[in-house]
Amino acid sequence: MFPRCELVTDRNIIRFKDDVADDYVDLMIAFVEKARLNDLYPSSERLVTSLSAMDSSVHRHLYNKLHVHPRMGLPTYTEFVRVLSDKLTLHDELPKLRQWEGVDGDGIYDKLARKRAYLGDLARGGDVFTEETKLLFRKIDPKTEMAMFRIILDRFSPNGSIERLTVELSQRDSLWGKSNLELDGDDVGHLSENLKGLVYRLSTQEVEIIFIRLSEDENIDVENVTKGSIGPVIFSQAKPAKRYSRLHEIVGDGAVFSAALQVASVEQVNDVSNDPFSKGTPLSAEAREQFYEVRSSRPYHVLKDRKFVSCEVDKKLLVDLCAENETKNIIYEV
Amino acid sequence: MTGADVLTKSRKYDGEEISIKSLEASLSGERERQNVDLDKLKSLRSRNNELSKSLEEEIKRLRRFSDFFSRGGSGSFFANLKEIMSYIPGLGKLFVTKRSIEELLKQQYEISSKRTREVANYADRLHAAEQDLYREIDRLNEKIIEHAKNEETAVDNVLDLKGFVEAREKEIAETENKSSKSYRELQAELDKALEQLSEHSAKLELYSSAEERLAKLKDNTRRLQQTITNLHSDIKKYVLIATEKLDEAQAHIQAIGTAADASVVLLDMKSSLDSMTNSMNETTRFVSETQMYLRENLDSLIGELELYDEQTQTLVKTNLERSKKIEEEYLQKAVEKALKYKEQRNSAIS
Repeated sequence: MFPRCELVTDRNIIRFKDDVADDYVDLMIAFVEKARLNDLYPSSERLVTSLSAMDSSVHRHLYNKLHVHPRMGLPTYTEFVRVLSDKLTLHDELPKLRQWEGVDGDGIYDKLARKRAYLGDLARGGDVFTEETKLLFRKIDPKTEMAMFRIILDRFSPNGSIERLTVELSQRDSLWGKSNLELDGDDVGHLSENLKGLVYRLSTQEVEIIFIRLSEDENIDVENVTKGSIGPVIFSQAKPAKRYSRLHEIVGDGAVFSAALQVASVEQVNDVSNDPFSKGTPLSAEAREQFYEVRSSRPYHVLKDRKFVSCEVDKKLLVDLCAENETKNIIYEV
Repeated sequence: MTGADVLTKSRKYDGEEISIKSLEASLSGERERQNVDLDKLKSLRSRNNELSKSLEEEIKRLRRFSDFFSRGGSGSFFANLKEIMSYIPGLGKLFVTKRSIEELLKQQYEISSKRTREVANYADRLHAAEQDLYREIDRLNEKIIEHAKNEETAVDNVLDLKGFVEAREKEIAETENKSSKSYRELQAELDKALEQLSEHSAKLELYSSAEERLAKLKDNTRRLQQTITNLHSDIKKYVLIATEKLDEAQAHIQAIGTAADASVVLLDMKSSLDSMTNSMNETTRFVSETQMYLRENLDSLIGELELYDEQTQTLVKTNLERSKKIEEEYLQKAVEKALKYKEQRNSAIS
């Protein structure tokens, strides 16, 4: 049974109290691990590190509640920033806390001992999830003199989901170092602030829109735009968007986690729509033809997929729901 | 009471044996402990300075950012944005809306959250320092009580021995045969009693001094503790307010993100920045007050403790001088006695 929680309407959040927050966190970790998220999704290792730090056995009851986004069912951005702040301050804080090492007592001494243990664990753990933009160098095509890059943006979406946007594109050799993409080392570089800002702003859009908008720059050729999104997690107390209402109806006392993948790629031969909650593509076939003509682009197609991880929800109901929407989706169970 | 009863009476004191040397070592130990506490406070004060400087910068940046947005999207918007951007880390060379406003605000939110966390951590350490001082006061109180009790015991012993000495002096004066065995025994008991009286008088002086010195030390520790308690009480309040304001800011950022960077969300943006500014204001205010508090109290306390050191040194020196004087007196008496004995023996031979 999904842990009890309360909806705080004035602040538009779901609040789990300490005693049940751990059940929720454990379930989220299980969902992320079971979902087998590949590199096109936000790093599951980083997500699990951040989520684990929200568990009272790790933070040693230093925090007494957990806020969850009501529509997406995931911990709020604030919770992730809380873990990030702890991670960023621990190198300063831990040596200062050591002067109370070995001091026994209740109250603040106990709190400092717990904080020391928590920050110690966090220091030994891996990286936590945070917003980040990376530029990776892929290869140079000697024939076309094009350098191929991959932009990876991890972010918290305003709708409460956690996303990774991956853009693979090429830039003419002669423009290196003075254009959108600049190499800092052998295989890493940085984006111009212009392109970085554009990618960030566009990241909330569907991948096809991102593909088209980035292609407006004549110096770059966009090949693939992929977006891997974590969420929503649907459970009875959640207030998901209308398009998830059927799923909300069938979860009962259980919960369903979903991870969506959208790809707009020149390597994709057909449009594939296997996401029961996101059908169709933003551009009509005519509009696409116009785009190919103007931009001299190779044809691209869009793939949309979604996988589920369910907990105490009748799998058949979920299969039926997908069938109603003419999709066949992977469903894992925890 | 017989001489044997008084002179062989067990006269024990609580705790470790006190002497000028042990008192000196004990007080010096206490001062070292207090120095450790002061060092902790000095380190807290230095942390305070660091926080204060970074918060001032933060506030400056947020205010300019907020003022800029409050002017809206008029011509001044673009004219001033370049300057404003220079206050956000890493954006000095940028122009206008190249970066996502949502991303900028999140960046600012994360910096503000980190600052608030640093201050909250600082508050916890202040709380622990406060508790350390309470424990120190308890420990000093135990010692003071022990010394007060020993002082009373010493008074009883001195009065007891003084009474015995007076009685023996009277008996000796009334004894006619100054060469008799009983006279010699009385004399021997008197000498023994005087020796014990001297010993317990010195102890009375030492316990009394120790009690007084420790009480002074405790007063200073109490002042330190009160300073820290006041600071901690304020800081808790400020951290709470700062956290609430940050929560508000987060809600506004969410709204901005949802509106996908539309320029119409300037009002939300302004509210978000104002919330962050308020949050930083609260923390800055407390840090600044803390700084003043620490400056006023810590410096005067250090001054007093240095004075205390001088007083302790004077006491120890006086005690050493007195001790030397007593020893000299004993020696003088012994010499006098020896000379007298020699004189008597010489006259008997001749």
